Amino acid sequence: MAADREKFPLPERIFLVFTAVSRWATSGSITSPDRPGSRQGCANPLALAKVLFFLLMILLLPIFILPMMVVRLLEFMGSGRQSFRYGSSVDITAGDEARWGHGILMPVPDDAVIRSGGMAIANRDPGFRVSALTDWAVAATALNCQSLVSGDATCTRTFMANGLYRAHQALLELRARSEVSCAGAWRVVSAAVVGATRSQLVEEVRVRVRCQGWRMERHEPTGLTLRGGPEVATWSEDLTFARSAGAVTPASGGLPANRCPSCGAQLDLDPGGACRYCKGVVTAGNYDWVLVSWQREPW
Amino acid sequence: MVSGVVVEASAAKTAVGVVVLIVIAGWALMFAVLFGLLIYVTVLRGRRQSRKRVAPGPAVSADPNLPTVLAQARRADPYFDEQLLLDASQLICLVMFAAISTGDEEAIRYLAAPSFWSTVFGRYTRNAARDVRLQRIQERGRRAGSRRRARLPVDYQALAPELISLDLREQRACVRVSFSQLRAVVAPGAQGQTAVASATSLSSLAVSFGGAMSKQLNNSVADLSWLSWAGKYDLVFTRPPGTRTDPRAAIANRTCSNCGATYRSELATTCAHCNAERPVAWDTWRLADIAVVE
Repeated sequence: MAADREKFPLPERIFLVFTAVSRWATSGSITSPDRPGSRQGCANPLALAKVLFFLLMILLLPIFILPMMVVRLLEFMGSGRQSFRYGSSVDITAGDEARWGHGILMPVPDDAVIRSGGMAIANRDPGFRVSALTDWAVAATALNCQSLVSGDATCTRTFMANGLYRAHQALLELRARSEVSCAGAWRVVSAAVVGATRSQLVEEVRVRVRCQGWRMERHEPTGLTLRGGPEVATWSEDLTFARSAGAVTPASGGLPANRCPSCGAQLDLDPGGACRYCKGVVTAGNYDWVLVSWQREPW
Repeated sequence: MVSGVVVEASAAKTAVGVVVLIVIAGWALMFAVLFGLLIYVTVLRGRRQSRKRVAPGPAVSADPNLPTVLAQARRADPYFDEQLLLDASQLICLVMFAAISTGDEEAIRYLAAPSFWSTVFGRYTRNAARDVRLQRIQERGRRAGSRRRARLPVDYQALAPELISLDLREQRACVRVSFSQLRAVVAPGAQGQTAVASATSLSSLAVSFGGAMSKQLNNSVADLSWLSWAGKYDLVFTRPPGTRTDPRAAIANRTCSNCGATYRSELATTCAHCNAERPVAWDTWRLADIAVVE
């Protein structure tokens, strides 16, 4: 629903009345610059009346704002102390701390821990090859770059898990609606496994790729550069692949080899991640590795 | 006649006096509510941060019997797929981000149970979304400045979600998520505005509030600042008692069953062609509550 046609609750409507009236009072002759000979500013009786009316509105401000504040306070207090505790528990950071704290990559565990995780996976699945996943991470990074620059997630459908794909596509839509664009070109210069775990339900492998290139995010209406720039830089990204604890590497090579892990046909997926030949949903992680998390270092 | 004029004059004086009293009381009450709330939340936030630095609390880990519980669940409901709940949790966190940053709460309404709106996070999401829409109406009226003020959803990153518990008798599942969302704030005094949202002491609150107000009143050049919300949360999903998974739901979510058109937007809740309601991929599971993982 369009915001201006929405029927807000009464306290918000009272507040909107204040906004509308004060907007009228500050419009036109008060705020436009004087031209020689024109009867503007305080020389114009209407402008003077508007100024006085605006001052009166400022004086009466609490009458318009208090209902909204009190209703929200009562609503908040209705859920007891818990709401205040939660309100203070929401970890909101601001300014540089927010920008440079967003997307900090997890520390890399000891080599022995990574090796034992990898061994646990390989013992159950002899077809498991670490290199297949690192190569796939390199290819996936190129497609991730393409999706960010084009604003279209379709090219990531073949390797992203359903949940991540939908969230990524929704994020790109949100950015497009807010007129935030991304430009850039980058490639992977190295890739290494930095985590491998196996639980009763899932197996996970985390690959860290080192990227080189340039990237820049802009807010189109203001022309403001939000992050990055045209200079060449290097940074890291973590790609976490996961599959069901019962899945094994398909004989055809599976998704990394561009084959359907269910029927072995050339990979051709519908938007829901189902193979167009066998109709199996192959991006749920039940058959093969899929990308479940993608993290970018702060920039 | 003279006494009548005197009575009228004193009545007018009384009326003016009452109005003045109401105005003064209104201002006093407004500042009391505003600063009382800000101070309370700021002090709590500061205390929580110092407590966290001293001793971070352990989080409740996943149910060790989960594989057995899942096997039982599949016997009782052959098409039950926990992966759909994990997918749901990833998309829900993103649509909450959409609601908070753009005011569009249609998608989260479609994915949440009615009871969610009486929980703390439900109220927080609804009020935050409503504030953004109110702000948009206010900005529309401003002429030159309107393009210099914006809150932009820039980035969202999440770790893989994890199923923590499942109780099919209660039809209740709990999924742990860990995410970080980043918003850019473009406005005069943006740095002060964002600092108010994260102040952990009264002095920092006062300095940032004062800074933001003075820049706004001076109508200075637009600044760029950032807001980030990161955390670990348990999402609780419920569905009506006795429900079984319909295997057609996941497929019906991609293409409109009424006109056959493909849904192009992940945030769409109806078909863009025929306006028919879009089925939810995870069938009747809905978000019922969110709890902070301490």
